[in-house]
Amino acid sequence: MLEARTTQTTHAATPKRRYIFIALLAAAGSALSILAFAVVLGFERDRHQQDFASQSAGRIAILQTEIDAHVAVLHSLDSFYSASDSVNRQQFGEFAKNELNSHPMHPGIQALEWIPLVTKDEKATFESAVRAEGFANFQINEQHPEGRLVQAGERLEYFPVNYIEPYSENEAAHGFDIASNPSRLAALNEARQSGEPVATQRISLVQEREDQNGFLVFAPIYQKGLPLSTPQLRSDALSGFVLGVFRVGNLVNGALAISRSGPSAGNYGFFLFDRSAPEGSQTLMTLAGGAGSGEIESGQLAYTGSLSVGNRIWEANFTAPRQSLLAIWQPWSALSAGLSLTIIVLAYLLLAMQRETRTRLLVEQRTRELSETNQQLEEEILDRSRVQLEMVGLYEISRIFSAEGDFETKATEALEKLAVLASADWVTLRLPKEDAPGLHLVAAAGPAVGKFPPTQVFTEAFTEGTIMVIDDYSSHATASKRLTDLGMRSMVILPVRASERISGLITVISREKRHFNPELVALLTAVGEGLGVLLDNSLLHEETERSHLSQRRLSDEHEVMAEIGRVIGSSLDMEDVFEQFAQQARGLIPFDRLEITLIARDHEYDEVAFSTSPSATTDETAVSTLLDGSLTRLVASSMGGLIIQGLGPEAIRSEHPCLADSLDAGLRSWLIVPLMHRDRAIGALFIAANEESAFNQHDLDLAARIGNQIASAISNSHHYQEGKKLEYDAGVLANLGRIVNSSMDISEVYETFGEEIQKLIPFDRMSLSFANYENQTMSPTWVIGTDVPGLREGDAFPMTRSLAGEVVRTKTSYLLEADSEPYLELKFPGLVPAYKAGTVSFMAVPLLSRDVVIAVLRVGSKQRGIYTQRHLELLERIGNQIAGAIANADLYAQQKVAEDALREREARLRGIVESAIDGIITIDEKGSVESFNKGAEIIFGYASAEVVGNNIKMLMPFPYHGQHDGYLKMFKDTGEKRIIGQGREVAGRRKDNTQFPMDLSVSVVELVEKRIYTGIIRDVTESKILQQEIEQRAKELEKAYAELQTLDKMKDEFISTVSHELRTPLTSIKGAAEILLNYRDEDPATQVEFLSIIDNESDRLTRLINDVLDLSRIESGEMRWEISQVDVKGVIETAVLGTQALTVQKNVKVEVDSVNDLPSAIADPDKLVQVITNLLSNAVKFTPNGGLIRVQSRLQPGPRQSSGQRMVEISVSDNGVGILRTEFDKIFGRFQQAGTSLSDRPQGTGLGLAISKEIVTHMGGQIWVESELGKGSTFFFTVPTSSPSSPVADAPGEIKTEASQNGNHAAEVDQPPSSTTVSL
Amino acid sequence: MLGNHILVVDDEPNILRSLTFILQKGGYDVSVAEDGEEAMTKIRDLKPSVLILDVMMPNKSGYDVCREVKSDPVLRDIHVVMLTAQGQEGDREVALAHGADEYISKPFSPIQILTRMNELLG
Repeated sequence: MLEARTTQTTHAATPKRRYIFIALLAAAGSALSILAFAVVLGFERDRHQQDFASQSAGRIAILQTEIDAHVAVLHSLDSFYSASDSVNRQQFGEFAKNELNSHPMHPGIQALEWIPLVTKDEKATFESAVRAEGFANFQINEQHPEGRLVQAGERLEYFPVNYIEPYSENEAAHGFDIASNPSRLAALNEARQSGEPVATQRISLVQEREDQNGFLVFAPIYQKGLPLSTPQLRSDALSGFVLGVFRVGNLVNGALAISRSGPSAGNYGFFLFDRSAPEGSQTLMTLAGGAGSGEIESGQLAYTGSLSVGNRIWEANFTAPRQSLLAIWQPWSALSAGLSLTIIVLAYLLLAMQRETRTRLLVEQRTRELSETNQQLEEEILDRSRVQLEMVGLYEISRIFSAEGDFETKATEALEKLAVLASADWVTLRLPKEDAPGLHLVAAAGPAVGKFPPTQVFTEAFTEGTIMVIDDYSSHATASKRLTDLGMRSMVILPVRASERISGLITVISREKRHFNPELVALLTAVGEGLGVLLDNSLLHEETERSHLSQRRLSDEHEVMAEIGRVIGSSLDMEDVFEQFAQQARGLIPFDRLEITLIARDHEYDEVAFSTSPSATTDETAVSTLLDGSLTRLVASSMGGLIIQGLGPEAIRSEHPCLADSLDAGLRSWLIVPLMHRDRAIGALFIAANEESAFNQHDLDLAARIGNQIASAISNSHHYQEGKKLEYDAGVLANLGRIVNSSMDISEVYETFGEEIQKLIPFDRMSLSFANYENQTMSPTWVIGTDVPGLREGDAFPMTRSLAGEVVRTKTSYLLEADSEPYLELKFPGLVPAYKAGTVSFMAVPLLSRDVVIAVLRVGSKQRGIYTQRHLELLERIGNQIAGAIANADLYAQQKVAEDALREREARLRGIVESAIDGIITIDEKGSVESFNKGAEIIFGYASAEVVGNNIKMLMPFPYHGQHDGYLKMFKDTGEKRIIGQGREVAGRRKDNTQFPMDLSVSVVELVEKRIYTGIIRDVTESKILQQEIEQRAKELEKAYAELQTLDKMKDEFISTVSHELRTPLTSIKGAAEILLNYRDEDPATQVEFLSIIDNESDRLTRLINDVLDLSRIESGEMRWEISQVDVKGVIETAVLGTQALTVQKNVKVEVDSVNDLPSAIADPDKLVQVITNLLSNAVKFTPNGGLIRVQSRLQPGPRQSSGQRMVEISVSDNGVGILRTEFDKIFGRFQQAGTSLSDRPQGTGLGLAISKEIVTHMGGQIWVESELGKGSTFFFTVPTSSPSSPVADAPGEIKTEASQNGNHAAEVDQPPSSTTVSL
Repeated sequence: MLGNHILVVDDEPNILRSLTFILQKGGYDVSVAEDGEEAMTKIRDLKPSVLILDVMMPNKSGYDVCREVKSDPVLRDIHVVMLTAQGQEGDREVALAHGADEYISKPFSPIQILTRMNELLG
């Protein structure tokens, strides 16, 4: 546990650290994600920049190419001019048109023109020539500053636009003098001198309609044959220019349209300018917010490249807005991926942590559970050891019981053990006392609680005889405060049974509230039972002892009494007498004070005549008290004694004020008896003691007797004689007591007894008659004195109407004077014989034992009036003494008999159980084996010691094993029985784990508070086997009988059928014979016909007889078999030849197919031929005329499974009507013929297939049929070969044997592969 | 007086032959049938006076034929003589139970049958 707690603390710290770790991880993850974002962003930007630059450069290259392509058109024209001597308008137009048409992708070309150099002198000529060409209004003109065209001023050279292609849209330029415009002129001159095409700066085209810039490119055309090496030479040689008029917008748009397919097509700004042009006219074109490099906004991507256009350098500037952060997805995806990853990792870690926490909790829980289980186990072990202790305790207790010693010592020892066993604080044994009410402590262990009288629960338990288990006494309904104050919290109160009644009570009390479990209670019960037995014995013993003791005490008492009598009789001085008496009485009843009060003559007062306490006598008030309410008066009036004790002082004071004095003097117990004289109370005897509860009933009796003596003494103080007599009587009585005690056998002392009695009571006859209640008779057993017939020893007389019978009935003593015979006759006829013998005075007293009159002691005297009341009393006392002696003797004898009987019964039972062959097992309610006899040891193979104490389940096999507890419980709970009370066969398990059937009968024995089960077991394995064997035999016999019956029936049927089959040909023979005999005059043909019938039918009869004989020979084993190696093919040939007659008759063809190298068969060749012949003749029968029969033989593929032998299979097929499938088996039976055609019937016996089957089966083969209705049947059969283990491969070549119809059977069968057909 | 047409039914040709021969010699008009079904056809066609009927026959046994004849109001007057070859006790009772008028067990004497026919039809 400590360890577990430590672990828990460690675990508690971990999550916090974990969470910090996770937070750090989250931060790191986020930082990494942001870093990745930044890096990717930078990278992406660079990439965009680069992309943009390369795209822009690409576009510039495209633009350059486009410009070059445009300018190249001029080169073509240049070449055209160079190649021609002169170019007229038409030629130019065609060429230029051709050029333009062949370059449709040059949208920037507005026009191609030819501009000749016209000097001032040539101007007129030129203008008129052009006008002559059809341009009537042609003149060389220039642009007026206001914009309109006017007649060109006078100049040295003119450069008028002459040829224009296309002319339409460009006619405005016709005649325009290029040299009239300074920027144009500058370019013109540069081109003239350099000899290269030269472009103008941006210009507004004359023909421009849109707001587009244009530019011109001049390509100089020189006169042929002139040197052109210097600018001047070139200037001089110039004949004109080829001019390209270009529109910047169209050119650029056309070029860029080509490249407007990139990823960022159309998203850029474009700015084209001519850096070589003067400020203000540099801009050529702006697209989509394009700007010059100076105007580029920050954050914008820009790219500038240069273009060469003729001699000019243009700059093209591309701009694009920097892409917004949001527009670039990569960094964001990096960021989100990073964050997602972080979150996933975090989530996983959190989950993992949670799982770990859960796991940890689970582990803790399991640990807890385990430790709980451990605890339970420990408790269980404790329980077990406690039970063991209990068993040991029980054993010890039982040893205590069986040891020597008196009951109290044993009981105390037992209770001490019990206290230890039950961990009880108080353990007591209480028994009722005969002379006092309630239960009294007899033995105790632990602090004594005995001083307290038993509480209500004790009494309840005792009277009801139930075990009371009180777990919480303080909350019990009848809890006694006194006990709870002592700290008693729980208890078990257990009645003790002895002599089949509740004889005592064991209380087991504990200071703790606790649960007395059933086992403990059972244990207590067992101890209680033990104590009961002990008590029983002890009671018996004690009773005997007590009888002895009482006898002894009686004799002692008698001595004292005699002494008292002597004392009382010795003097007439009462004071002196009392003094001495008191001293004597002390020997009988211990006391602290003795007083004698006498009722005064006037009966008004009583006075203390004597007191051992001197003060009492002197005290006037105490001496004489008013008689009313006094104790003296109380006992006097009731004539019975009284004991006052066990009450609190206050109660005594209030109830008996007269005792206040003696109470004050410290006295606590009082015994008061009346002084009776002649049925009259003359006073009272007070005996008091300081001790609480000092007196008992015996004391009271004694005191009463003493009181009587005193009374007698007082009333007859002067009758000295009587005193002497008393003394004598007492002496004799004492003597009698001694005699009685001297022997256990009363008959031994009768004689002495009689003599002693004679001393006290004069008699002529004395008898002791025992009562026989069954017969209602009295049996005189001891008679002395006068002999009376019919009343002798050994006689019996009826109880009715006899004095003794009357005594028995009334249980009282009788003193009787017989006045006359009639009186006796009337009252006690039984006394008449005695009366006749002279007896006239009778006394009879009952001898009581346990309130039952066992005998009557009777004395008789011939003297009339001799007996007094005193004699009767004396006789009663003597009777009591004798009764006591008899009872003692009886008790002694009874005890002996009972003990002997018990011992004998036990021995006998043990003997029976031990010697029984059957197993006898007893188990308790939980299934624990309590005893296991020799028989069981033999049956189960276990020694008794191995089984006793274990559960009975160990003797049961699965699945009964697991069910037994349930059965026991069910029976306990519901009373439902499975085996109890009825025998049953169940399975048992031996020590060696084998199972066996056994008969089990179980009976329940109900003991006090528990139940045991006795099982008697008999191993029925052998009887079962025997039974099975008998059943098996019976079955076999039955089967054999059924077979026999079937065989018998078959035989009958066979005989019947044979008889039928024999009668048929016989009928034909007889018919034919009769005809031949009776019609002798018939023609020879008819005679031959009937003779043939006889012949044929005789043959048929022969065949039939042969077949039947064959069949019966095979069946009876008388058939001779000539088994040898047989050439199958040879056998087939023989059979075919043998049936030739049939086949020829029916014109049936027989085809024989055999496999080469067929091994020889192991068979009887003749039988084989018979089988094949049978099959062949059948086939012929069922084959239509001209049909085909095939006989085939082959080696069966694979050996036969059973013998490993290979088989030859021979088959005979026909193409007849076929056989129904249902008939397949039937046709192999006897006298069974398939099919409907009966034309061939006389030839068949109906036994062929049956015989064939017998033969084939006998030779170890099989026979069967395959058939299809309407197509024919094939009969197969097999015979074993001579080569069992060497499989012969099925030879591929089949032989077809052919034989001529005449029976010239070809012998070529051995010559494969020549194939022949046997046509029969 | 009955007619003189006798139908002999047996699956044994040689028995048929003997009976036919003798009965024809006795002047009777004789027809033959080789099995039960053929017999029934011929009985209905020819309405013979006497039917000599074998018991053991394919397709339809003699007992069946006999029962059929005797339960037919038109044919029931035909005199049926059963031929059996089983020779077992009780055959006679069985034959008569099926309605046969007479019972002759095999082997029998054809002359005896002729004599019987003469008594019956002559």
